[in-house]
Amino acid sequence: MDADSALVRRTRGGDLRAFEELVERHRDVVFRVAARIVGTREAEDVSQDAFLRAFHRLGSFRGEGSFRSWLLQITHHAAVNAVARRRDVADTPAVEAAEELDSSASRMPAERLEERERRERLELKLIGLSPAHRAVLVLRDLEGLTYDEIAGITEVPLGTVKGRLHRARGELIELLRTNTYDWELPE
Amino acid sequence: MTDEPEDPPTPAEARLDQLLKPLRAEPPRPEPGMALAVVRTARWQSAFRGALRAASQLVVAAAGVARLVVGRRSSRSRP
Repeated sequence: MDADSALVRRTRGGDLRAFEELVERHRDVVFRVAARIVGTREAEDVSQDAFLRAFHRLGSFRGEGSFRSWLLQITHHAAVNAVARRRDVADTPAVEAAEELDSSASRMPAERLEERERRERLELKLIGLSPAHRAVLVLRDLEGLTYDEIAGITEVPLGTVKGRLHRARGELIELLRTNTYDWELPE
Repeated sequence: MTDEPEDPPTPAEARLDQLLKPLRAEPPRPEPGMALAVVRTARWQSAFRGALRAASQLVVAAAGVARLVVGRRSSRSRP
């Protein structure tokens, strides 16, 4: 039995310290996935929502896959629902990035500032992808998950994951090519 | 868990992977207090659910007693 399974069993028995340990173990990956799908501003709420849903549904976790995959499936659901509720999600990170850049730009060396600007521009482009494409690209290219895990998390067949990933990369490349910023992308 | 090998990336895909490296290296991080906030909410929610469950059991039990009392009274009043 892995450490997560033991913690899940203890949490089911009412041990909230065990649940706290589960949250501590997985909060970073949950937050990262949520942030890449909904933007950092809303990621905290989405992450908390995902953990609480998991807590109340722990009885339905059968332990066939890993707890992390099950938790990320809930996170993916919560994030995609949040995007669906807030259609103007694409605007938020832009405002966020602009605000952050304005407040600290004068204190940063030029090279770091440029790196940060590139990263933020890229994050904005990522948010510009459709939620389904964004999710597979985040899970594969940023989180390094296997196709099997992604299929389980997004609840689509393996072939669909591969197709979506291919189209997501293509879509992101096209988005970057149409940008005035030079990303040095070969034809 | 095993994974299938991917087709070799196109030059543009390889460049995209390079561009994504800083995003992997500097991921967004949650506030340090998040775990505590989640557990605190889980604690009161489970206490609230417990209280709700107890209250509903009490209502069901009270309804059972009332049915029993009414049933006895009506059987006594019959000639």
